[in-house]
Formats: sequence, C-alpha cells, structure tokens
Amino acid sequence: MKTGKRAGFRSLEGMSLNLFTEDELFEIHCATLNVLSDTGVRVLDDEAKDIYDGAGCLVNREDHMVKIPSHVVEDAIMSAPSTILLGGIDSKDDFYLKAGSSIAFTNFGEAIELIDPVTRERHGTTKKDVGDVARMCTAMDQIDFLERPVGADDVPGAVQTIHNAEAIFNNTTMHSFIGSGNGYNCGKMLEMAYTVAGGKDKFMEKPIYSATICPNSPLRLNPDITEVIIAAARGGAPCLFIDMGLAGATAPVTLAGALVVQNAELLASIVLAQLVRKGHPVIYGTSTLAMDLRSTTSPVGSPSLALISAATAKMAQYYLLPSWAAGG
Amino acid sequence: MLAQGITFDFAQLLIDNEIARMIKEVVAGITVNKDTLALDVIQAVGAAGEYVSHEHTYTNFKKEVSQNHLIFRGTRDAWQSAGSKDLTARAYEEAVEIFNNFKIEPLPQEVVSKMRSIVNEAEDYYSVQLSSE
Repeated sequence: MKTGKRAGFRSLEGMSLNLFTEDELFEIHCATLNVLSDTGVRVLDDEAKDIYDGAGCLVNREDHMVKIPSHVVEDAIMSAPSTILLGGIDSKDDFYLKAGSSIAFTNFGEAIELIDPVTRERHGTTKKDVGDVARMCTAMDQIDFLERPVGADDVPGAVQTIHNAEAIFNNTTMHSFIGSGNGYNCGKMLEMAYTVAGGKDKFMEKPIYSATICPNSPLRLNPDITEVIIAAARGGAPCLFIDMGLAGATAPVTLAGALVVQNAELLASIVLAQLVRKGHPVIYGTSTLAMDLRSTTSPVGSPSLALISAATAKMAQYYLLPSWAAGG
Repeated sequence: MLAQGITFDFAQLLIDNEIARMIKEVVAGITVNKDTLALDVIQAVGAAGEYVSHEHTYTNFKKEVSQNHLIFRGTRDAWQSAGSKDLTARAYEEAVEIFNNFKIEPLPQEVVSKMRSIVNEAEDYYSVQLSSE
C-alpha cells in the first residue's frame, strides 16, 4: 500500500502545561524590573556592594539598598548559559541540564530526620547517614543527580557543610548540589571538589559539584548568600538558586505577586553571579510555598505549590535558563 | 520526603523513583507516525481479530506500556496469594536489599586523604575538635 509523503507536517513531542501567555510572562518580567530598579534589594556585604556598584547599580551604603537598572538585569539573563554540564564523579553520570522542556529528577534535600528501614524508628541524621542516603539515591535509576539529602548533625555546626561534602563525595558517582553556609566553607568544599575532579582545571571544564544557594525573602541577599555566590562563581561551581518565599508571609499572598518577589530575588542573585564571572552557569529554582494561614504551616505539597513550580519553570523557559522546582 | 520535608524515608525514595519513571512516560506524550498509527497492522488484524500475538505488539510493548516494579497491578486474589504486602512494605524490603548490597567504588586513597586534611584545616580554622572520619 502506498501513502503520500508528509509535507510540512508539524508534530509535537511530549506533552506540557500552558500556564501563561507571552503577554503575561512579559508583565511579570516588567513588574520585576520595576521592583529591582525602584525598590531594590538589601545587600549587607561590602564586597557584593562594590561589585553591584561597579556595574552601574545604585548602591546606598547607609540603608544597604542596591537598585539594579533593567539593562544590568537583562544583560545577566542573556549571558547566563541555557545549557549546563553537570559532571558526574564517574563520567557515566555526566548530565546536560538544559533550558526548555527536558526534565530530570533529583531527590528532595535538607532533611534532618531519617526513618531506619529495618526498625522504622525516626532518628536525627548523622554524617554516616549523609553517606548512606547519598549511596541509596545513587542506586535509583530515575535520579539524575544528587541534592544534599540529609545533614551531618553530629558534627559542629560551623563545619557541618564541609563534612556533608566529604560524606557525599565519598558515596556517590553523580553530580551533587550542596549548600555551604558562607564563603569560607564554599572555598573549602571547592578545594575538595578540585581534588575529586583531578585538579582545578578539570573542575572548571566539568564541575562535579554545584553550590546550592537560597536567597532570603523578601528582597534580601544576606552575606551568607552573596559570599557563596562570589566564591562559587570565582571557583567554577554552578550556582543553584532556590528561592524560598512564603506567599502570605514573606511574599504577597497572591501567587502572581509572589512570583514577582521570587523573580526579583533570583534575578538579583543571577546578576551578581554574572558580574563576578560572565557566563557562569546558574539554575533558576524555587521552593517557594504558600503559607496556610489557618494552620500557620507551609505544606510542601499543595495545589499552590504545583502552580508555583510550574510557573517558575515557565519563567525560566522565558529566560532560556535551566530551572529547578522543589517539592516533597 | 515526609512531615513537611523534615524526614527522609527510603521507602518513599523508592516509591518516588517509580513515580518519576511514570511521569517521564506521561510527559513523553503520544508519538504520531507511520509505525505508531499502525494502519497496516489494523487492516491486517481486521475486525474481531486480536493484537496480542502480532509482531507489532511484541516489538513495541516495552517502550509503549509502563513497566511497574513496586506498584502491584494484579487482582486482590493475586495480591493476597503473593503475601498481601502493601506498597510501603515492599518498598522497605527492596530498600534494605539495596542498602545492604549497593556499593560505590571508593575514590583513590590519596583523594580521600586530601579531602580529610581539608576538613581538618577547616576545623582548625573554626577551633573545633578535629575529626578523624
């Protein structure tokens, strides 16, 4: 049997959600530019202030407000790459994280308790657990890279993040995302990552670890945030920005407004990373939640969370940046 | 993750892994081309025929139909004769199996030692007790 050739046939691969029109995305973008240029973000660290200042931002040294003009924001969006190579410790786990519609999964992170699979008892997590859980996540065929899953709460708080990194690097073959807490610790974690990668040069070509960084809401980039952005960008570790707004508490209760505040915090962070090292890989991420004002809890799993996560992915697609959405 | 993201649980990790696999299948959508439309197969099977024994079914079922591992898809009778284990119980069983057997190839000893010395440097910097592992 014969059939005709399909000429100019349009096909769609996969399925996706339609959440916003281009007009709506542009409206959120413009509202964010207004917030960044007129309200600004509060930056306490002097080195970060100097960097913003040098790029043409209006920096007030008394009230610590940094106002970022639109052209600086849009330049940063343009210079941040659309595809990021997340190197595995074992190269079979190398992963290209891309803007657009390709999806990947990681584990949820930052837990402080673990249920023992044999006794079913709950206990606070230790450094050994960090390694064990990293190893378990590595065994999962659908997990593409690792987020620091639990914390080493049995070591002194000041060095916990460094112990987390040691336990993770020794117990996974995948790329990992780990928080550092301050610039010094980020530097030490980078030294470890260079060792694992076989030298700084090799790490710069193919980083095996990324810095997880959570801006503070509303509109605050505290020194623990800006120090890590500067250290990670200089040291070559991609920056995963996970905004953690609370709609109804630290952001407007209306989700569109919460998205504007989140976008302003993420873009202010991305601007700093791009000013330190143009083209530095960044991920546009969210763990913004809606506060349940009746129970005063913030459920990690609700219709609002689904909408915020999908909306964040749409904003990232609009900016041609890779995105990340957290959720239990 | 349980309890507002406070508690990590291996059974849920395995269940999430299975859900992630299914999500990837859903977002992959439905491919429309000559082979998937299967016009020749439909015409060959005809009315009142069957597709189970057709080559087209055999060559495509693994990529077209989701292959569950933890979620039990049988009848209640089949589930009871398999021991009536709920999803959580099966997930914990498999988690313990993986926990006891899945190994990560150790990094070279000099890398492990160098990382150790970096951790000790940081502990010295903060004047906290030096750790040995």
